[in-house]
Amino acid sequence: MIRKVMDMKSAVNLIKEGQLLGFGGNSLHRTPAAFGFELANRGLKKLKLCNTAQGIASDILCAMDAVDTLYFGFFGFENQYGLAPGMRKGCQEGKIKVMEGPCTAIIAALRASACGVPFMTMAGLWGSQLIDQLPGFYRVVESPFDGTKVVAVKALRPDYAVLHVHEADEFGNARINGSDYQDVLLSRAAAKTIITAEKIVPTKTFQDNPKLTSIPHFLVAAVVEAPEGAKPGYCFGLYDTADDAGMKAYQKAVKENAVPAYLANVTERRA
Amino acid sequence: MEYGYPEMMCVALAREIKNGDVVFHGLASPVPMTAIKLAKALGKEFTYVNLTGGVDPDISKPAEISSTLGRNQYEGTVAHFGLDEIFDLAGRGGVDISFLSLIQIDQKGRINMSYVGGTWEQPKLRLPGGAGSAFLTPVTNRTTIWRTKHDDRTLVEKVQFATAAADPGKDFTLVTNLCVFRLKDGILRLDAIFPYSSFEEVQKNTGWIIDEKNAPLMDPPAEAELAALDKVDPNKIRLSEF
Repeated sequence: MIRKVMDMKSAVNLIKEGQLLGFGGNSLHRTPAAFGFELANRGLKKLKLCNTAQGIASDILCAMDAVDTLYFGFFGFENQYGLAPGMRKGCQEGKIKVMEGPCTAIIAALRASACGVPFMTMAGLWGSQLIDQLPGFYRVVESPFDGTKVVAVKALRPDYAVLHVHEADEFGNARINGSDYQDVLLSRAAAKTIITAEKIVPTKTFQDNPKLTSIPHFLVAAVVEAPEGAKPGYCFGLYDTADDAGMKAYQKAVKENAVPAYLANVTERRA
Repeated sequence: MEYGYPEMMCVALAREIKNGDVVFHGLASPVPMTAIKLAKALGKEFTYVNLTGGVDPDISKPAEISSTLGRNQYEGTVAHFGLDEIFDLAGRGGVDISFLSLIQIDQKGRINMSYVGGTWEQPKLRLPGGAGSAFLTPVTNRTTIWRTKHDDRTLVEKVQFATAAADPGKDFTLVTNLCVFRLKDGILRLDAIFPYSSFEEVQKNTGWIIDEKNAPLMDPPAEAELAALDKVDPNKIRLSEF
């Protein structure tokens, strides 16, 4: 096993302009916010982001004009935190191309990549105009066996999955407590995975119960210790309520075109 | 006991659940989450799966936050059955009710969660996307849509874009804060009006002409239903959608 612990800046520097990234978590839950903030500081352009339900890590990149394509089933912050302001702004200004799925289609596209095939077929979707709207993502095909029509979804292979987890060792073995959402699949679908962890723990933690290891080390390119790395979102069992002031500050910053100042503030506090 | 929109909607949605069902909701779903727990508290025997993967959340642990991916939706559940597995189950016909929401719907049960105004490439208002709707609506046995604000900007004559669409061959129900519509022969028909509303109010707030002038009033929540509701939702998370 190879030691891969590094600081957040070094991990962020692995990302290159134009790459496809899959951020883990779901909406504000275990969103890799600390990584997203640091990446937003870098000023890269034309990033492509994919996951079923994206959160603040993705939204701030949209707000900073770093994103040209989004794949998602849902992109919002739930209930009182409402619509995602950076995504809306980027889309409404015509700067971001949206490849909308149902979440199921995003999963199908990741499954295709995870098992090494160019597309995956899926049930349902009939009646949705998404099929005709996005021929670069969906095609209707016939079963070669009996002619049944199904929707095929093109594979999505992220250059990196970026996952915020509860525990990781210095080699990249990682454990998620509570729901793992699509994080395990993302790690299998991506070329490489970057782990940000609430805590670095001894390898024995994993050896004691291998079935609880969500991501094994050989899929991982970098490990960063990032306590509270999902804030202002949630991390199961550690912070189960959102950082309300943090969420409001973020929304205000996007609304007032003051995201760089917000970013400088949150990344400085973490440094 | 007093009740308003949130309580009536939770009760109406709970009444949709039958013994033996498998029911699902995703994120941003406080009203269906509460309705499902209400149905459990009233003694219905069914299986409750949710986006976190927790199977049959413990109804004695009330929600503390309005996110429906909270800790109590997972901790203490009997099994992990993840979203990918839930979708697979739905694909093979194993999900009886998916609770889904929307921004706009038309009389044919076409749902818009993508954009309003402008074009796909540059919308006037970009919406959050349909989450599981486009997939789930055609494969779920009884799609159940909830919308907490019934107005003619939501219930429109024709949606600009159909993110998802009702399957005319399957049950499809729309529950708003005023009434219940059900799909019959591909058209949403007014099925019942909530006791505090009227045909006139429903029509005034709906973007299409409703034929069912004699739609009955639904029974108000029973005392037992309201008492159970307070027990499963003491923090009144249901109010967060209103």
